[in-house]
Amino acid sequence: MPLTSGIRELDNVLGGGFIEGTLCAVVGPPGSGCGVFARQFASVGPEKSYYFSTNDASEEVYNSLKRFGWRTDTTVIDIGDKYHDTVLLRRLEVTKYRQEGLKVKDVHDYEETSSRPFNFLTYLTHEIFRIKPPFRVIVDSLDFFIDNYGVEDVLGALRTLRTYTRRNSGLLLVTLTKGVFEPRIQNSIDALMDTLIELERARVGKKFESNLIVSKVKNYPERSKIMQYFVGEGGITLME
Amino acid sequence: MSLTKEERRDGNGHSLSIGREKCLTGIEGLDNVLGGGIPRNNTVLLTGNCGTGKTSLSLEFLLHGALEGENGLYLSVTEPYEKLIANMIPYDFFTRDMIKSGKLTFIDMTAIYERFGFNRDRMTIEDVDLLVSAIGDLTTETSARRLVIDSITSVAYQLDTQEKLRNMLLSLSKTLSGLGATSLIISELTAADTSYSKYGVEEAIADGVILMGNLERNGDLLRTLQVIKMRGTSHSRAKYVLDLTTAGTLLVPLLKGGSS
Repeated sequence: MPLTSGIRELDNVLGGGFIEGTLCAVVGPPGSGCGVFARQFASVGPEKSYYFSTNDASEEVYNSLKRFGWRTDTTVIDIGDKYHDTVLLRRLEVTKYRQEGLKVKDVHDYEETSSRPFNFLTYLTHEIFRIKPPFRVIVDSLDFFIDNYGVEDVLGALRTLRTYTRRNSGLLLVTLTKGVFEPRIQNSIDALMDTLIELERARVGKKFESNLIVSKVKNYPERSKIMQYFVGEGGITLME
Repeated sequence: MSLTKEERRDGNGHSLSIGREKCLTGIEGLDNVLGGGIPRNNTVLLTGNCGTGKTSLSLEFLLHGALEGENGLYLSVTEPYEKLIANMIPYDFFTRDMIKSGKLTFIDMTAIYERFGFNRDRMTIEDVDLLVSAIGDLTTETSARRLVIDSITSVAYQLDTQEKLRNMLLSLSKTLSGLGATSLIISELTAADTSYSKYGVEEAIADGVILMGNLERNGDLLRTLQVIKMRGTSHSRAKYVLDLTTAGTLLVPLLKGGSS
């Protein structure tokens, strides 16, 4: 059974939706609507939905779901918040000590346990493994993991997750900002994906022309297509 | 303040300082060898193979200071201080109260590294500056007049160039001396090392070098000590045999040592 994308016209192009047990990526420049696409996808379908957010706090995700009038029963896992607590706060602390110097108490109070770094990529993989099928999982966005752990580790994790998704008839959708990483990285991520959707935005005169490109559907090359879209009150809408 | 034989006073009791003021190590034999102790504010490299008694000797130096009312600071890279104290020779003159009252402060250097977020593989020049100024701050805060770093070899593992080590030692010795602290910097040697220090630069920068070693005699492994150099005092350069006892370290001239 295909999983609905939440966009009717896109489902039609894809033959009913995303094929279950696959990996999909939505790639686009900042402001093109990748986040909206991800939220729209998270709020539809009968499967349980999990939203791993690296940029926005859970509240922001729920608020934007409400604003569009979408279902809010997705489970948001706030990676950004966890990252803030374990990494950024520590960096802030380091800055403080570097600036203000150390007191004997600061040294004596230091606890060894805090020195082992938390691996968010392992955490993500582990959390997804714990999800029981059927599920749809959104990772918004993959940028965070590539930034912190490098493309090799991220590709490794994606391969593992693809196997898990395939065996459990789930679906994993990731977002990726276009133009941030070098082409080699972008290409190796694209190559791993079963479905690749690109959002493109160009200025034509005083208007934006936005195109949603279904650039890859594994085993169904005939489904590739370019369509114009706009982001409005109802989220992403395609124009045919 | 204790008078040394190099100090003379005039009729009004003013010091006619001929030699520099000395910091008594409290180890009688060593103070004699040094002509009354380590010249104050000197940074001395205490170097030798493992098991030669460097840690014991430097701890004793701090304990004697604490007894005389001089605060001591022990910066350890190699082991946590609880373990250090547990393994210390149970000196008759050591009390836990020395730590409680702040006469003796133990600092785990790895905690400093973590607080500053140092990259363990490679410290930058800025990191080195931070480390030296932190050691200075801790010395000021604890009003330490005696300081031990155990060991500079461990610190140096994080430095990727000799230049950084040289800079660090120079600014460390300048900082500590400016704060009125007399310091022992422990350097670990391996059997393969041919100079007095692991990297060769430490011994050149230090104000003094005390070499500790092992000597086999009649099937016994003796600990030896030799003052190689000490700026600001005249000293014997003879080799002595050490006897570590709970009453403190005893120095015996090598000729007699171990023959009993």
